[in-house]
Amino acid sequence: MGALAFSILVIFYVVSYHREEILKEQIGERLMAIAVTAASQFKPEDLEQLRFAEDMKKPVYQRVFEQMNEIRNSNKEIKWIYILRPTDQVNVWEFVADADANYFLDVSDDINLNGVNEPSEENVFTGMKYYSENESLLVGLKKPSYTKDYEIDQWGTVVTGVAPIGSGYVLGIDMGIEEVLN
Amino acid sequence: MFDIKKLAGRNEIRTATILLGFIVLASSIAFVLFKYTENLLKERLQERLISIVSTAATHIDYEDVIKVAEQKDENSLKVLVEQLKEIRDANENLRYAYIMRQTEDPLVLEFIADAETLEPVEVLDQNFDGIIQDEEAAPQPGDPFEIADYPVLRDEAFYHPSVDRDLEEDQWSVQMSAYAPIRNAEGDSIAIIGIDVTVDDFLALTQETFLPFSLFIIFLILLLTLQTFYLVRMWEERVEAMRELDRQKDELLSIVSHQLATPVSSIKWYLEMLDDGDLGELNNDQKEHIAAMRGIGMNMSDLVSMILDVSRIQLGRMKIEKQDLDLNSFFHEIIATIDPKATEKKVEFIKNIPEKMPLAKLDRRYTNMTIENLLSNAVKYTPSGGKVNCDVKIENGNLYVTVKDTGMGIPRAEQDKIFGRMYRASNARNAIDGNGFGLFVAKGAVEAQGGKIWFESEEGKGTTFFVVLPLN
Repeated sequence: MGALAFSILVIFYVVSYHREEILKEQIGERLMAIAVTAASQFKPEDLEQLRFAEDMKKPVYQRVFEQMNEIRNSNKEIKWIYILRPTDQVNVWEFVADADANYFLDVSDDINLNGVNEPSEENVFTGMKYYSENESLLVGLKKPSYTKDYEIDQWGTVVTGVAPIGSGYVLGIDMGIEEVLN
Repeated sequence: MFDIKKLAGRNEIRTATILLGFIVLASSIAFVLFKYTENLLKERLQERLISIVSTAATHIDYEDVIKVAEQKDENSLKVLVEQLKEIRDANENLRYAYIMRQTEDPLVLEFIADAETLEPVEVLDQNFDGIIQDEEAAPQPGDPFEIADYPVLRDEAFYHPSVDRDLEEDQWSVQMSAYAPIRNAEGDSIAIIGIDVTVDDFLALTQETFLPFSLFIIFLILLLTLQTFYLVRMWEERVEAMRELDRQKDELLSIVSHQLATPVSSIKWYLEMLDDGDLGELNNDQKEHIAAMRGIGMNMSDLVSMILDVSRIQLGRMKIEKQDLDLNSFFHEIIATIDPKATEKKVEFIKNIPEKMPLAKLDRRYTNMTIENLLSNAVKYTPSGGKVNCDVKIENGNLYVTVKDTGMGIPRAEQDKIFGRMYRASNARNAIDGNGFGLFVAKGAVEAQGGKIWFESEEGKGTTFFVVLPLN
């Protein structure tokens, strides 16, 4: 009976794992669908004008910023939405725009009010470098994609959907692990 | 005592029932898990479509929608169609993307734009016959669309992003539609954007999900079947071992009782010789002692022959010797044996025996043992002041004997065990002496002669035994 119970537990675990993987894949596909639908709203020629932090004051950045927030507001589960461009260095990207970054917002803020500015509270700005070994970003330069597993960086653990904007930009959309597990 | 064959059969049935139960349980769990996963997948699919349409809605400028709807503005129509095409082309399985608004008729919507609205004839003419059939025509601004069959479109879609509740399947594919409101600057919904998505991959995914569940069920059933076979085999081996032990015990009992029978008989004869004075006159004290010893010897002899009968029944070696039996003298002798016992115990013994009965072909010893056993039990288990009835009749070539008492009765829960070897009812076990062989042997003796024995009993009120024996 012990062996039987053990076998059932193992099978149950495998089936549950399989089910969770399928559901995670579904979430990845959903993020990819949002990214691909949203990507058509951004023009590479607009993004070309955004190179440095001071460009965040340009009307084109404000338009992109508003559009990103509108997309996020339409999809409440989205945590982060941003546009990256590759650099000359391997695995180094550059922020072009972010739904949480603007010239009038603090670069670092004590969000959890613990008196310390932690890395997770650090804000981004146009031109800020971002190191990532996430292969989906590279794929996302050419075609829509999503991360097969959780990605971890200083801002948290997420599943990411990406889609190309033109041929030199990637639109990234993240869902936090808490939302995925929900 | 228990019947090993019956017990083995019962356990096989129990094992099969447990196996069946396991299979049903495993199948139910797997089915519930599968349905649960299928529902989750459907929910995820619906969420995905809502996400696409919600994101697409942010792409549409409400002013363009108003211009097309109210002024038929061609530039705005071009912009909308271009945006709808971008949305459609960006998503692999998206077949149609369109914008509609409400009309005065709550069951009719009106098209504002469709991704195919401005497509040239050669693109729309899917069967290449040079003519645009109704089903090939692209919706144009102002075209009506009846929504009686689309409950989501009737209301819900104009308030918040919505999706069809169920998949829609036609001969080409499985689809699902999703809608999101397009709002003006004041936040009022002025139109909806709709997308129709083919979700054939959903069915494939569902089937893919079903595979591990099926494997789970099959593996579990195999595992349980193997285990059940193993258990049944183990049980059969045990039953066989118990059967062999039982047979050896009966054999031993038979040998022991055979070996005991001769010396006990010898003791009885020597005591008889002593009592008869063959070895010289005895004084009164000696005679009393010899009489007591003869009584003990008789009891011993009865017990040994009873054990011998039990082992004969167990080993299937019971030998019935039918001979002419004068029932008149037969019952006379039995009554003569029981009467003193009843008188001594102050039990009223009522006999209802025909005056003249025919000769019967019966085994004298076994028949005597059966009837005498039933009558002496009746007297033994009936308290002083009670009654014992003995009714005998001859009918249809059978001898019917009914022995009824007003004794302690047999508890209902134990009635099916009362003919078992060495079984004694719980209410008699500690109150009255006995060995539990009597009814076992009586049943064996009656059935070996082609007869039947049964009883009716009520605890505290009494018991009636019925015996039927064929006369020939």
